[in-house]
Amino acid sequence: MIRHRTLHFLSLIAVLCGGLPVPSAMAARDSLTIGITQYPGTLNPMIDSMLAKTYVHGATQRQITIEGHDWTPICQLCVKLPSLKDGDAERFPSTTEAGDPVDGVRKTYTLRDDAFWADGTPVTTDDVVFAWKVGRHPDTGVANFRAYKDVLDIEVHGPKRFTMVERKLDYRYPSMGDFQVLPAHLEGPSFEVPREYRHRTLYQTDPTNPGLWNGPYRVAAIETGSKLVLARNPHWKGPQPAFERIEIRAIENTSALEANLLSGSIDMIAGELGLDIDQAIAFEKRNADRFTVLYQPGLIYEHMDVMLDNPFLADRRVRQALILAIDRQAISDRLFAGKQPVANTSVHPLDWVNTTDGVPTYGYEPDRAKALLDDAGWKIGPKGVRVNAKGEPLTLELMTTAGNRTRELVEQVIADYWKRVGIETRIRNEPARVFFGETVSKRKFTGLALFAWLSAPESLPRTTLHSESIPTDANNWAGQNNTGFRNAEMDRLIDATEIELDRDKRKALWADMQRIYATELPAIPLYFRAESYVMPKWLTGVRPTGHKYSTTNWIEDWKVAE
Amino acid sequence: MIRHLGPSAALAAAALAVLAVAAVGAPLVESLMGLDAEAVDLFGRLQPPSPDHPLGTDELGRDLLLRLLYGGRVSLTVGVVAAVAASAIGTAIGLAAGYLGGRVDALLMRLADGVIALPLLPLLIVLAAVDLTKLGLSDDAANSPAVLLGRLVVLVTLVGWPTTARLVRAATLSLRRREFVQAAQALGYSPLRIAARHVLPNAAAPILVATTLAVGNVVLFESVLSFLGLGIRPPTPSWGNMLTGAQELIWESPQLAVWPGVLIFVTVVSVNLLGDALRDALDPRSRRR
Amino acid sequence: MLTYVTGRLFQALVVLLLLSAAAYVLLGLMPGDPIDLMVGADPRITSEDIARLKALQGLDRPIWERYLAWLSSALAGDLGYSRLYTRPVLDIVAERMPRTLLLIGLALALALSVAVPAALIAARKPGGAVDRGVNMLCFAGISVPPFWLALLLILLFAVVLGWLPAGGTASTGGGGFLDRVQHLILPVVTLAAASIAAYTRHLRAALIEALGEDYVRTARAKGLSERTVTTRHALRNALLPVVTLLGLDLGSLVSGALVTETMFAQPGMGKTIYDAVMGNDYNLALVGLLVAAGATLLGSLGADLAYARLDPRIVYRAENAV
Repeated sequence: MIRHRTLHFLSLIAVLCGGLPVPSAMAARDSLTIGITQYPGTLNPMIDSMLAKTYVHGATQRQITIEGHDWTPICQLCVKLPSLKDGDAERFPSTTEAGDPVDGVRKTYTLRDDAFWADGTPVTTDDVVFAWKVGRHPDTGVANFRAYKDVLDIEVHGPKRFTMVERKLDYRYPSMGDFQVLPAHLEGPSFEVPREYRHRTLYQTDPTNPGLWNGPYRVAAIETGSKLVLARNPHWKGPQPAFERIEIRAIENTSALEANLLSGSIDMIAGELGLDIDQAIAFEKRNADRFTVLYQPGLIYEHMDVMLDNPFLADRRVRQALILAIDRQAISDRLFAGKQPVANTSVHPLDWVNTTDGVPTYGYEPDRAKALLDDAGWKIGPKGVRVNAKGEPLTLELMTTAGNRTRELVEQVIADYWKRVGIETRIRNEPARVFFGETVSKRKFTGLALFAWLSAPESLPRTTLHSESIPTDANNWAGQNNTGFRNAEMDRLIDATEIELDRDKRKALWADMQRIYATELPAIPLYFRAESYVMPKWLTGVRPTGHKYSTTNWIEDWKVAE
Repeated sequence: MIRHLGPSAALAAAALAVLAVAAVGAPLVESLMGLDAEAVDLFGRLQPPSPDHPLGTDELGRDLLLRLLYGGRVSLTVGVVAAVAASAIGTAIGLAAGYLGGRVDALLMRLADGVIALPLLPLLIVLAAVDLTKLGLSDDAANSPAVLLGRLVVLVTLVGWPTTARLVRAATLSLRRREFVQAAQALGYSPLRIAARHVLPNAAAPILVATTLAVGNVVLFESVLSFLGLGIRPPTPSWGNMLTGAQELIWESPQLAVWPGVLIFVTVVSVNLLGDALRDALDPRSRRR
Repeated sequence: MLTYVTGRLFQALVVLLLLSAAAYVLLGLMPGDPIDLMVGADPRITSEDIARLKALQGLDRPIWERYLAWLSSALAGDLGYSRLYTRPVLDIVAERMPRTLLLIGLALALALSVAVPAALIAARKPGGAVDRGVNMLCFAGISVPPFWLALLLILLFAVVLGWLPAGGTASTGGGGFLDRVQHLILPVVTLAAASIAAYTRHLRAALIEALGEDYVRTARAKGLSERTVTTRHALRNALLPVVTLLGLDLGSLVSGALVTETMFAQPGMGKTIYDAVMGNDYNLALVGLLVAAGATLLGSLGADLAYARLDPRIVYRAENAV
């Protein structure tokens, strides 16, 4: 009797579960489900800058210019990049905010004729001017406020042509940087009270309004915190994308993300916000028959910031000993299967300004490290820890973001390497919010802080290495020179590079910067992180860039293989 | 005593004793094996068991057996100390609230409700950020493993007592109307004496079950904390954070999860069996059948 | 009785008020404010910009002043906007609360419907084979951390067997009733697992004790069937601890389902509160925490009222209320 009932119950479960196979893309491949590890907080292009948002915007919200696959600026909504040589960019005498004379630039762009918002309204200069007004208004509190504030004026020549007057001419002038375009015809009323803009913007109150989107896709449905559904933009005039709909799902836990992929709940995992490299390598070993894994070393520079105010670390010999004592090649090879190249400086090997000429490199030389430490007055003391003449032990605090498994593993490896040369490491990790919001940005770490900088190609280290960028209480902790690095020659090189428009001369200046960096070691370079894109065999055309502009900016090239 | 408790309890006691001895003796085992528990070997990651490494190595090439032993120190200390401390506080408060009733009850129980409802997460982050050196502790002492462990124990105790308190109060509410308690009141015994001699022994069942369940809960709580990045700091291992670290390696090296999992299971089973036996031994009314 | 409930509700309001102050101060004590985080994201920001932004968000004022401002507008019905989502806090809570209540309700119902029969058969013969089996399953239930249980369930039922979806709320392009139910099964089981174990252990212990009591012996002596004795007399009294735990779980799961929500990508309150706290979203975090606290207080009141129904010896008088 009981057995009978059990059987019945089991068969009921089987009907419930088995009767409805989990739908996957196995039917016609007109939809694509992408898994990412973060859900965007807001969809307004101006407010905050979350990676998940830029991923969605790649498909839905195009910019005037971005960086291309070859790491140089390209046009998205514009027709041609302005250049001094062609005459659509020109110098004019200007002044800095402080009042010093400087060269300004006037540059003229033409918007594409076939750029439309998804409600059929053309993208015009009105949208550009409106975005500028929103961005520069002090009460809207947008991210990248400076990008708008440094634009002195926008001269409109008809619906598609405009001239931007920028305060300062620098080598990045052909690009519009992070300047976003907003649909003036819809967003105008939301901006009537600038203070309230962030709350009233239609991107928040009516995100599925087609007129907000100008990319090949528009946002069609939203389940906050869980998923976004994209549908084709009927007014997109570029190459038609292959999929009728794209679903982007946020699954924060990477183990669960992987399981979702294997079970067919999602089709692919975005590299921008996806699996850790070691997890991807292990995944590839088991599932190479069903999935393609692409690795792209990115502009994500993992390093340890060194607190130069610490008297132990102020000694260059100690910093050099720290890097010589770590076998960074072994870390890269053994933990990351060699997919994450060892860094010599903060400049990526694929960046055109990278040089190895005359730049010191540090291999794994523990004996040299020991000799340097001896030389700096650190002798082996009791318990194998080095002590100085005053009897102070060489104990350093190493911090990173708690809960980031890869960093915590690397950190323990480093501590073990240092122990072998007589340096005691004290590991103290904090949640990202505390670590970045307080400890690093307010220079409260005492030893080393392990984290990464994410940057664009040829990005000048003004905020990280210039002595004017050292965060202090007096300047409200602005700037990112958290190590407290002061080097007059570096300051001079940064200032000179910014206004040098000649590529060869600029490359020479960059080479000098790299030499100083590798000699002085304000930070200990570790490696450049690689992104891992996990895709089904049937999907082609996904081309990682390695920089902050995501693959979705080329989503119309994604195709289903026969 | 052990014979008195029955065979399964004896086995449980023995298992716990072995675990405790192994955890205490971890440094000894370390020196006997001639290994360093924190020594990383990038060329010997995820090794299968071998004479050098009886249980193999972890994702950084460290000896798994040694890490389990050191992890036991953390997990057992936190689990047992915090569970017992939380239960002791909870029992006292629950007894007082249930027996005295009225305003005392209302006040204590609203306090318990408040603690349960207290935002645990910011509390954890704030406590973790409290600089003990500002409280007069030396730099070394403030960063010693014992103090770091102490923080966790205090925190778990602070948030753990209300459960026991409410359980004990519920039992007390029911007991104080019973004939034998009312008889004791009629005899003019002091409330303290009645609570301790008449109510407490009869509330032993929920207390012991709650305490023994809490040991397991606390060990798991620590692993959830490390899942959120708020647990024990590396390189110190605990069974909980070993489990957390193993989830991404579930296909390659399931043994990394299995071993700490088994040890947590053995601990939970042993503590609960011991608790059952203790209850039988303490409770005058319950008889083994 | 009515006076008692009114008194308790009044007490709950006082607790909530105190908690809101405690939570506000705790959030304020956490290192790093929203603008500090923004500075990290915008390298070119200047010191004047930072001062202006802090003033814009009111962060330049002392914490008690900010709390009082928050309180007075909250009492006037304006709970403000979430900083992270730039939407009204109420909208977000209203959007996520139903999902959370659904998950918790189903999980607690499942826990009860498994724990009661399991404890009943286990208590029938303490120390017997069935009892040992039930006990071992309970121990297993409390020995596996929720994130592991979730992962194992996903791997077994979604990846290996392919019976159930791995996460989310509905399939791509789908969204029918059955599809949504399927998406609930694994998270509910994960949430229920720990509760099942705890309820069963407590219920079993209480049942064994109750079965040895005088009134049960009397009932037996009256010739009532063992079944009637167990369910009518023993179970009623043995439910006290379970009712207590149920009341506690109701509140703690609102904010405590975080791990399950994360693993199964369910947008619920636990995740919302966690993200709000971590993202320095005062308004959302506070309201989320107060909702969770309110649920705890209601659960505790519910448990107390249930005691009186289950055990007629417990009487609540108005004097219990302060």
